[in-house]
Amino acid sequence: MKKILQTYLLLCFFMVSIVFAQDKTVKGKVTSATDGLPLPGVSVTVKGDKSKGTQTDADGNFRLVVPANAKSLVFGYIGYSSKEVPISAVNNVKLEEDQKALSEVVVTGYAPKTKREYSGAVSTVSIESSMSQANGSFDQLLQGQAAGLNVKTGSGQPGRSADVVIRGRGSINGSVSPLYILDGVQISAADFSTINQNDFESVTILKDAASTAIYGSRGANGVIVVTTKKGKAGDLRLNYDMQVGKSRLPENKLKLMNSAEELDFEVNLAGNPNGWTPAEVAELKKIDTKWGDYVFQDGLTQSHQLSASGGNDKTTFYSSLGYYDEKGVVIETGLKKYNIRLNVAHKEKNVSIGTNIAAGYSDFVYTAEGNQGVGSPLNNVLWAYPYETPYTASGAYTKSIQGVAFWTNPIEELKENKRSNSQIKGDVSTYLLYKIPFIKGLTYKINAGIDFSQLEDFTIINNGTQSTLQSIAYGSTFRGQGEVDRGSVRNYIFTATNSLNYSSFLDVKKEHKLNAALATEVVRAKARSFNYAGYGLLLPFKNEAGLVAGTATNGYIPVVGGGFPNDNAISSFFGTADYSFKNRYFLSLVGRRDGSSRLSEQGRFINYGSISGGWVISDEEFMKAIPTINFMKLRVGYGASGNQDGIGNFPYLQQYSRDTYAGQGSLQISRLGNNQLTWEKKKTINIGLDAELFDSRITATLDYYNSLTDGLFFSKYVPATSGGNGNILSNVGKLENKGIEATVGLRVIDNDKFKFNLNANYAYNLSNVKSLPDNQDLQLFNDFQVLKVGAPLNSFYLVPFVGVDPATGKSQYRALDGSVTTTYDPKNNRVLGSSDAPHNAGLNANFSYKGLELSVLGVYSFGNYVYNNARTNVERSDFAGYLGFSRNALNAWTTPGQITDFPSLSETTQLRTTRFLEKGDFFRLRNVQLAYSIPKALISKINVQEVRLFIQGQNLYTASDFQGWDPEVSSITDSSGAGASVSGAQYPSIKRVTFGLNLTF
Amino acid sequence: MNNKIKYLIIPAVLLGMFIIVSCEKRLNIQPQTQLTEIKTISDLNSALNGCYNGFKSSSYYNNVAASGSASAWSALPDLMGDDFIEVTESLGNWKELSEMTYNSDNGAILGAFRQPYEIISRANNILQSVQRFEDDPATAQQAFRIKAQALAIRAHAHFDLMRYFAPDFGRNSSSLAVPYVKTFNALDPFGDLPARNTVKEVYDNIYNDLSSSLVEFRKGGNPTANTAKNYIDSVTVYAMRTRVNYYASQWPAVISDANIVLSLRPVSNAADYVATFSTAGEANPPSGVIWAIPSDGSLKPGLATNGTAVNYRVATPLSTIIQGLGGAYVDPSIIKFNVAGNAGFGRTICYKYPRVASFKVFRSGEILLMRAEAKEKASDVTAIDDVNLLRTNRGVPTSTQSGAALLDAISILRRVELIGEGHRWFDIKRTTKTINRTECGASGFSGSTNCTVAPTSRSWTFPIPFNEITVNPKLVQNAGY
Repeated sequence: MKKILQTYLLLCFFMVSIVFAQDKTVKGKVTSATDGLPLPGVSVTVKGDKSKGTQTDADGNFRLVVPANAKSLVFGYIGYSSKEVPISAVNNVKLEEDQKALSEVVVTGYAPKTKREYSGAVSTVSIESSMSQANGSFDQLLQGQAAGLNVKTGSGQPGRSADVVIRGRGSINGSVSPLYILDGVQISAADFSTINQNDFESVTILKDAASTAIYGSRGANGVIVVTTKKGKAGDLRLNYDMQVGKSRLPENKLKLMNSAEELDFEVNLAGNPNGWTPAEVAELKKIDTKWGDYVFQDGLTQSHQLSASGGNDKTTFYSSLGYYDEKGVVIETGLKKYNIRLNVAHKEKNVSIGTNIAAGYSDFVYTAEGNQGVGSPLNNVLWAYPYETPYTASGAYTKSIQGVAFWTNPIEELKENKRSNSQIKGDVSTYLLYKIPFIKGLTYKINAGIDFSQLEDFTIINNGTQSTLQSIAYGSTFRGQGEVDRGSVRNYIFTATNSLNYSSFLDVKKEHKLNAALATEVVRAKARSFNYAGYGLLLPFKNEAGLVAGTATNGYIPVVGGGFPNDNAISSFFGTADYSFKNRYFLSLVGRRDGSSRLSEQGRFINYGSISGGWVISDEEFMKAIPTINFMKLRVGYGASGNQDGIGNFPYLQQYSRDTYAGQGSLQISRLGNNQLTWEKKKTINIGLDAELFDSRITATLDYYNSLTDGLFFSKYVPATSGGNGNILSNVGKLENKGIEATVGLRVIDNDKFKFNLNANYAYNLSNVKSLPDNQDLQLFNDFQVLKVGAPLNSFYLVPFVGVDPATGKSQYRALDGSVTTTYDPKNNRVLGSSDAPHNAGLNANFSYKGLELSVLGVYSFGNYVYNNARTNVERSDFAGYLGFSRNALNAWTTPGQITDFPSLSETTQLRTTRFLEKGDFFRLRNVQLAYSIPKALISKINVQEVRLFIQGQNLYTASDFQGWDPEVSSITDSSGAGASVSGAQYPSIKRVTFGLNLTF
Repeated sequence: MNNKIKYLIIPAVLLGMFIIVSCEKRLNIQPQTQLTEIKTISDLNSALNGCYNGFKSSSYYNNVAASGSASAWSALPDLMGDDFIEVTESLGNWKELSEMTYNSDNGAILGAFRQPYEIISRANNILQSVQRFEDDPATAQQAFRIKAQALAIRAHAHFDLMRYFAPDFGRNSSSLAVPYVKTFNALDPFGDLPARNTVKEVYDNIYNDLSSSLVEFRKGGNPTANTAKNYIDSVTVYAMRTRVNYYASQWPAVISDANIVLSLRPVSNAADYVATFSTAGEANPPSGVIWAIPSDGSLKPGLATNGTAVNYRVATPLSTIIQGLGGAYVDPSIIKFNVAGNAGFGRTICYKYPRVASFKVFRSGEILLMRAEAKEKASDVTAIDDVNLLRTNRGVPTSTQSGAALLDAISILRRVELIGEGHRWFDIKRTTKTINRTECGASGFSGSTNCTVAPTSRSWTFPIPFNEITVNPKLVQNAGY
């Protein structure tokens, strides 16, 4: 106390002494060099005397009384390089946006911190290079953007979401998808097609336990924090952004036979199952239908966005209107979406409040994908006979000789029997921040919001279409006269966080800084679904009005369903403490208690936390000797987190679900209970180094992590004798994920006219199953995979196929003892590579010359395998001749001595072999953009601030040996749910070229 | 302004904190579309329905086209034998099964192993929950009735398992069959990992359960509202025991049990035989129907046999035999001849299940033929009377046969009378273990290229599924796998 008093007196003395000196008044204005807008709140100090200072007002103006001997002023503003300007030139100060990472703000969702003080592992996604791409679902755009963020795009269906995994899969039966936070509020990790990514201001990926700890159990798989644009004080600013372009499907590397090949193959090799006579063959060879030409088309994409922002020093707003329209590469498919957003913030004395409101509506027409179904157009386009025509002479849709039970005309299915989905989505979040006046540094904040969506799915099957004939053939006569299915799901997630935050220096020298917070949080998720299927679509309406009322005689009795697909809650209490010394040494602590409704009462609560530290080495004296390193920081973090997501709502309870027997209600055991079920726990250690060299021309980040998930959620395969088909969700086994991540940025050339930047990221992740239930060494997993102690997650488990015996034409397999055998035996299954790629990289290059800018993004992934299930259907011997077939079969073994890799067609094809396992390696030119900004001098006369034109291409080139449309498989489009196989009906990911325009008034 | 806000905000802060902290009650959420425990007799009755419902699985009696599911006790035994041929249009979904070239990782066999145990678990769960309802006089009678049915279901499912997974059916055989499971613990499924019981032990348990079932039926009475015969009653239990005795070659027992069944459910005339397989008569079937699993719009036992899209057809030699016999057996609502298929081949289609229909698990026709065979084996001269009784009731000429000729006639009548009802492969397995198919490969309009299976083939016994041995190493694999 005495010391503080002394300091105070000393300060007073100084102030008095200044007053006595000769002073003068300086006026000036500060603007941003980037857009010329005034910058409010810029700190202005006299060089060499920081006690004299002020801040700019809302219009960027300032007025400061300075000593007569002052020569220059120092201007500082977060996000901008500080600048020293002679007093004579302060009339119009332009601040440059800071390119250096140290002052970059890390948006973690609760309280922003600078990268300097942040000690967790995070990556920031470049909005410019990602969100400017045209796509219906923003998660697709994250590919290649950050080290450790693994995105499988999987499908080219408009609006389809991607498969996003951060730092490897940390769970087996629990969820592995990250938590998505939009303006502080949890949003559902689906329906992204109704969110407008053009409104995004920042996307930050939180990767280690130290950074995700504040999200607690929800953040166990990493967090993707999105903030939307805020209004900027100043004049009204209007933006118009548009893009329009064309898309096309890539080449299918799985080649199918043409008409002549197919006929010769059927007659000569496949035993002529259709009984063609030579005359018929000659006639049919005249037809050669390329079915793809009828089912695929050039897609069209257009997007328009109008946004406005403005405000004064108290109130700012941002508002936008977006429209996106995509016609898919499969006929009839497409997406239209409409978005509106309004973000308002207001500040008055001790109170800041803000509300963000977003509403979206989207409409899809889609087709089924990721299945092996005989009704799926994307299968039937491959399985069609090339010697059959799409239409008959009278213009009707052709019925194949394959029989309607096994093949329906894909053109009819797409054109007549539509599947559509419409979504309404609303995201509202609001916050109130109150600086409590009597205790300096204490603030209270409440942040609450709702993520709401209403999804409606609609399918119509018209009377008389081949699909109805297929139903009849399968014995479902009541479905034979057309059908209407409609289902709706209403979802909401409510999040509320209350926090008290205390931030203060602990000493007068301002060397010790403390920031502590206490918070409570509740997340409640609820969903309600309803659906029905109505039969007998005999009246001329394409909706419910077309249905004939059901009676016992006509059998058109609708089936009604519904329930509560989501019904759970999390309640949490947590505290954080960040301490820093000299802005050089940092320590952060997080402690948390979470409770989840999904877990048994015994295991419902969990306590955990994290500790992390940062050390800015470059601030130390001894580093001054190495001037090339202008910044270097070491980060170490260790923490735990719990996971309870992805396991359903009541997985711990034994349950009976409803059905019907003999027209009476029945209840059958649908789940075995586990009253010990508790949290899955993940512990992560992260060591990172950030460095900037040569005046930040080179920036680099290196991270090593090792995480161990204990008490894994695992649906144990229950012995038949204990529960029939059941499995039981348990906490068993351990899984390790470790890896390194490197990010390097180079400003190769950086002058006023020419700039050349390179940014590269690379991540290596190795998963390793450490233990399995009941001390087992091996568990079968998914369709073709295994969990094996010591092997990576999702390792394939198949019998090695080692070619064809030239003498007999039989497949040869490698036995466990290494010998070669022609007998298939599942005992020879081997643990092979994983379906998860261990190596992932992204490379972004940017060139700019005056107003011209070129940016190139490439992604590279290798080291994984994909089971080509789609190929099995057109290569297995029992199907030979019964559907359109792979050209590979032209090499099928026929005569002794023949060297080939395609076995004799008389052999039954074994599917669980490596014959259908392919490498998933690929390099993809994800995005190329060439942009030109018209010089300001030319456009300022017409009151336009910026005109930018660009042309960009997505997925223009993909290098891969995979025999299919695309090597990328996501769990969204894969029936196994693990992203392990191309299961069939692949909607190809597309190549797209768009032209765009950005206008700013 | 400042002061007003202060007074508003501070209570708001405190209130906000309080509301959030005190909402741990929010974590007590209970399912609204699932039941978590059996509380009332009505729940128990619904659970019994759930137990029956397990028979509607595509691994058991259901038959979903183009999926390759087992349909293990409906279509599969005909397909694996020599009565049905898988047609080329089926895309070979049952190829490994009909060629009998399966391995221990065959998915259909896995389903055929797990589904009966699913039903058994449900039955055991009922048997473990029934006690307190037996103790309450208000619910006792219904409880006995439920218990009787659960016991019979448990015996029936174990018997069906044994038919595939045991190598032989001798009454006192020490060969390994399947574990006979009598407990269910939903909370500790790994607590009890049983080994395979011998064939003799499984028989002992089946007889025990069936006898206990009869005792409970005597206490509780037969199921009410059972005109459709969708529920097991005491007659069904006698029918079950007839079949068990028949497999165990216990001829006098076959005769005595069959006598009881046939006195209550006599074989009726040819018109009734045809009516048995019409969907219209399912609510009130002819007396020949003893137990049928209802379709409820979903069970399709002999699916995709409507002539336009079939998975299998009747083999030509059997088709010739049927045409020779005539009578009700050639009624167009039972069988269709010369239906054009791929490459114009005229096929014979079993038409017992032209559309959604119930699956008849036990019929008097089968009981009568079992009694006839048992009589012949027991040198009872009235055997021929039973055979001729059936012939008369099917509009087929009678004859006088005895000895081996009579046994042959019975064997052929079993194929004809019971076509599509899941018996043929087991009959071959019980007797000769030899299959010679005359129609093979594309030239024989067949998806199968394996025409002969010798008695020495390992495939006469299904392999214990690979996955099951992985989780329960006490399950010893069958020879040859």
